[in-house]
Amino acid sequence: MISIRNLTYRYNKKAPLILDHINLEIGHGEFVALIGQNGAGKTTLLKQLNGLLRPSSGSVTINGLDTATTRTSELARHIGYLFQNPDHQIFCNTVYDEIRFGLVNIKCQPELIDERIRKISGLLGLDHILARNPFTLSRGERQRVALASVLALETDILVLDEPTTGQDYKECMEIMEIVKSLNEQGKTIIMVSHDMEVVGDYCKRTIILNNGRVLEDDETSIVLRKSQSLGMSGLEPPQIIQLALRLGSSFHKVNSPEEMAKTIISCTVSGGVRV
Amino acid sequence: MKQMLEYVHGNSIFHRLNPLIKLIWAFVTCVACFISSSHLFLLGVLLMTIVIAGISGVLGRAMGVFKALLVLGLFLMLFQLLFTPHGRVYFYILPGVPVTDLGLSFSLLLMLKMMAALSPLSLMLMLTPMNELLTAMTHNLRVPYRYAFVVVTALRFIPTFSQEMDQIMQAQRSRGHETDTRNPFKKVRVILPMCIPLLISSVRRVETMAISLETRGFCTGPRSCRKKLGFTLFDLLAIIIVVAVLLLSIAIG
Repeated sequence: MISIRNLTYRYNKKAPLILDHINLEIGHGEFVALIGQNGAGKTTLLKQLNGLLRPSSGSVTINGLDTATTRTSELARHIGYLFQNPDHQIFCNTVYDEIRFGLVNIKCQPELIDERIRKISGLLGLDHILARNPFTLSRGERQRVALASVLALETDILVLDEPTTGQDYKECMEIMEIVKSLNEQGKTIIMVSHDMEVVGDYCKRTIILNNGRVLEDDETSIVLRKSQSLGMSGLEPPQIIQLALRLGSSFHKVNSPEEMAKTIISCTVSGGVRV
Repeated sequence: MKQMLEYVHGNSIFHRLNPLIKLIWAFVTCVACFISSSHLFLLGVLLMTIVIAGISGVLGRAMGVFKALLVLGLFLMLFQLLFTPHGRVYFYILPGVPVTDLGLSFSLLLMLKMMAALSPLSLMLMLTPMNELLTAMTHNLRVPYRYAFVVVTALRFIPTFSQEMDQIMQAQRSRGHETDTRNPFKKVRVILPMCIPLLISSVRRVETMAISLETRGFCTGPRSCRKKLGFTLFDLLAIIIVVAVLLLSIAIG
């Protein structure tokens, strides 16, 4: 579905390499986290996926389309992209028009447009503010409007650059649950996040980028245990994994509080203590 | 846009000129170009700007600016050509729209004026650090700090806004909006609405900046400056050349 071969990228001929010989294959229905410190090349890599940036060498293909030769507005039918800053995306007078904008661009059938807007606004809790001017909303609400306008396109692939920025814990969980359900419906999700708790809870595969290179690429539970690689990127494992690592080898499969409780109970019982 | 206004670090003789002299040079040359109606004079000013850019080691960057101004100038020339029907007719572009000798001469003059007037301004910004420009305005020209700060901040933020506009266009392209169309007329039509988010984010940024300045005691007392900007013999020579250029333009014009 997404194939990145020997991708290198620099902003101009004299500039240093931002992406250095990256090779990745991302299949249909995967939920991938892209992590790394600021300046590691995460956003640059994401922008390669929908042709906003073109490879200096190597290739990127999305559903068989080469991003070097396909226009971004055409790739938009296959790949939805949420920007870090919602204010870069929003410009219509109402939330309704903002969500409608992308649907008109991809020439969605007129009779389906209203239905899709109602569906996505309900899902993201925006149905009561559809007539409001998006610029008067709070940062968290604007972020959800931007997300809604991308989700409305119903693309196979969703690229989310820090989708939970500016959200409180409850809103963050709501958004991630929606993203999770979309993944369960078969959509491919690629997400940049600095929140290791969110990565640990939701993403199945994690890639660490460091100085433009892929440092780690494996199952999330394995990558989040590689303290050295995480440390090189200025990151720390989620608290539950930090605790599991300290408790020893019996806890090496623990990734959630539920698993932690089960393992503690089984260790206690096997140790002869009645629970 | 970013390239046109950003300071390029260097130690050439023009980098070391007093910023006030560079400011006067840019302003006077601009005025002289608008006064003059001589193609030769305007070409001379352009040539002089290129020579200064070359000596200052910013020729590559300046050529980018000249190219951008040339494209703009050619558009201006084309429109002027279409609306000047007087003089000897060479040929017709469209039925009833002639290309005349006067039209050609006047449109070329307009293009040269635009290029010759704007390129020194851009070069001045490439050769002068913003803080020195601010010092020259407040200490030499006695412009109140508050107003000088506005001018310098506006210039400083243009590259930021340019970057922001780029991000906005990328965001819309990602939603299938054809800002990447090759048709220039269609491109203008699709890009215009993009100015709204830029305007909104600019206003938000200005509000935040104003609050930030207030909280740090902006303009609460008299200001001093660490670096004193003196005048050298070369500054004197430069101002004589600038005045000579102005007088020449008046004489020719």
